Amino acid sequence: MKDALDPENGKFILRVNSLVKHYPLRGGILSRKIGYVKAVQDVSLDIREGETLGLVGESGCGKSTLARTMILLEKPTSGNILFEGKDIASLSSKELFQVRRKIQMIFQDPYSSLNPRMTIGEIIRDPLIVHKTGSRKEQEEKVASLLIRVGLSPDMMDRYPHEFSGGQRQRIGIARALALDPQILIADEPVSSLDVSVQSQALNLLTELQKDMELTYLFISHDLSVVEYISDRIAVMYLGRIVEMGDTKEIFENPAHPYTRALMEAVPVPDPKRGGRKIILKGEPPSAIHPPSGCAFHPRCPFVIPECRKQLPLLEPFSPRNTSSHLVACIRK
Amino acid sequence: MNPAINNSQLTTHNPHLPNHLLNIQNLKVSFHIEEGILHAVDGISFSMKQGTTLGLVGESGCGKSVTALSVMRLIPDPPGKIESGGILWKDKNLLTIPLAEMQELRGREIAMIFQEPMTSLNPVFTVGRQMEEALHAKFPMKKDKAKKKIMDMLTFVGISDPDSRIQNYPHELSGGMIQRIMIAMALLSQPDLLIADEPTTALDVTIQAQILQLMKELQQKTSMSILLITHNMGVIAETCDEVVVMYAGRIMEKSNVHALFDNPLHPYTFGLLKSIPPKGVTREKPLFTIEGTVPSLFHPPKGCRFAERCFQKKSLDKEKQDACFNLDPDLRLLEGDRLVACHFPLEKDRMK
Repeated sequence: MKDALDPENGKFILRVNSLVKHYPLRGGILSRKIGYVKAVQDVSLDIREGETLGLVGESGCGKSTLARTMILLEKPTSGNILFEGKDIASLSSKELFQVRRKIQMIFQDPYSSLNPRMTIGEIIRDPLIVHKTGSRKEQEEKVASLLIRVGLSPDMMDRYPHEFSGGQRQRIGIARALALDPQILIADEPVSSLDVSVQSQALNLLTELQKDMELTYLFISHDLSVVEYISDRIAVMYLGRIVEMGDTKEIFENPAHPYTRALMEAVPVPDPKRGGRKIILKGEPPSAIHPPSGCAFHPRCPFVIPECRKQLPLLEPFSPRNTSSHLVACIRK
Repeated sequence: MNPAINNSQLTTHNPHLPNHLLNIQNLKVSFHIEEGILHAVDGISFSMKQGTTLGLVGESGCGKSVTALSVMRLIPDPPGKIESGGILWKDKNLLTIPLAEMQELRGREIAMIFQEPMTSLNPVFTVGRQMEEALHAKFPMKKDKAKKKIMDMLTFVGISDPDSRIQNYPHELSGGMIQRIMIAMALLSQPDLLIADEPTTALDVTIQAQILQLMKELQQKTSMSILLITHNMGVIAETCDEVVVMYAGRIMEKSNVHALFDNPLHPYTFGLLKSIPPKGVTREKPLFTIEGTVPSLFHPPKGCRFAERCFQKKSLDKEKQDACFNLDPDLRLLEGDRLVACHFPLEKDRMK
């Protein structure tokens, strides 16, 4: 299992081993712990330098929690997180502060992730101030160049977020994330709230930036067409666990996990000639408080057999001959 | 209601529109707000046939929801105002009939479901009680009879175990479940038209697929028509018979779904379809983009509203470009049954 995770091409920049994140659930008048929301369960993955790793799954599957825990915005329950070979989960807050500048985040909602009382110049400059980077003049020059870089004009520096459209605000969010010259950008549903015409602009911008600035992306999305377009590799999550992972082309051509297949089939295709077909999944994702026994997908799986209810499938190479990085957690693969 | 609307100018019986259930004529809706007058819908006309699904597609702010709310006569006034036009439903103009008649008709003949199913139900009452109330308001009947009808309808929309579901409060149910309940509620009175405003946008894809399939099945089993509002071209392709493409308060194109995807006539439609990442294409190849942003609806530009962003204008000579920027294109008939508002519609085979 560990071996299968070893990157054969390219070195990894961020790696997590057996990461677990449980949130205590309190109840009763004494607000005692009555259980746990098992948001992330035993996730191991690596992100290679310069790649885009797409993380897909439906709401509540733990993809955002995984990302937030990976960069220690949430304290992991257990497991370790290696950034450039160093375990950052055990760093002091001072040391962590230095690591943070190298890993930045872009958020989904460009409306609520920018402070409405700050000008966009102040918003983009803020990380530079927090990290005491450069003189005031240098910071202002940096802000101007970042605005140009994301396709906005430096004259806009004194305007407030409400004066911008959703697409422009997302660019401002991207500029802020780039202010400290990070190595990794974690993009949590960065284009989901944008209209399609603006979405394609944003995807092109992210691609250009990656090329020019040698960035590594963790791209979280529920939109498979977007993920297929932008990612080198894909990890599919279901109820806190990774159920399939591998090269984008391989996953889309040979999806091995029934959930991955169902997810792909569920996406509405913009082609009216494609009628008929479709395995439509019944039911809804189960609760992360009481995950089903064995494979968490078994209650919805069209290929379920009795063993699925008992045995927790491990994330293993898709085929024994195929030593490539296509991993799947399904006993019926 | 509004003196600008002259009933005699509207043709309730258009010989060219057989079986047309809903016929919107030159609808103009604006919002009078502090910043000025926002022309949300600026003179649109379209009609829909009975028993079909018509998709209303466009990006945020194009006026698609305002159009739907106008049909229900639910535009908040003030600040909203229906400036002119008519909405013909069967033999009535929905904009001029007395409010009491409209209220009677709402839910009974035309029902609507919304994007956020969670906010469409009252959180302090059980689902069953709210459904009973809705049913009772339109069709007073005995309690046990009402309950049976509700149970049947919940089963019909694919809810297993309706007995316990009706005792649940909205927060105890998932978004997909609530959307099914909203659909069931809308169907209780067997409306002729269901208006669905982004009914699956807030749902996960596997649940979206369930709801879309449900809507298709319903249409096959009943003769209900559906006006489906969405921004998702995939949803349009999978569910609609006809499509109206809106941009900045105007209709750019109306077409049957196959022709629209094979051979879009309006450059905006083309752009919308091309902006979607195509299957199997990687980021090595930049995506098609529609440059720029939507024009202000406070001061809509003269000429074609899409001209500023149109990729096609670069290949047109100066004289033709002047036409785009100065002459407002009418929606005209092309290829038999298609309508397009463009001076220079796209040639065939552009999508290939």
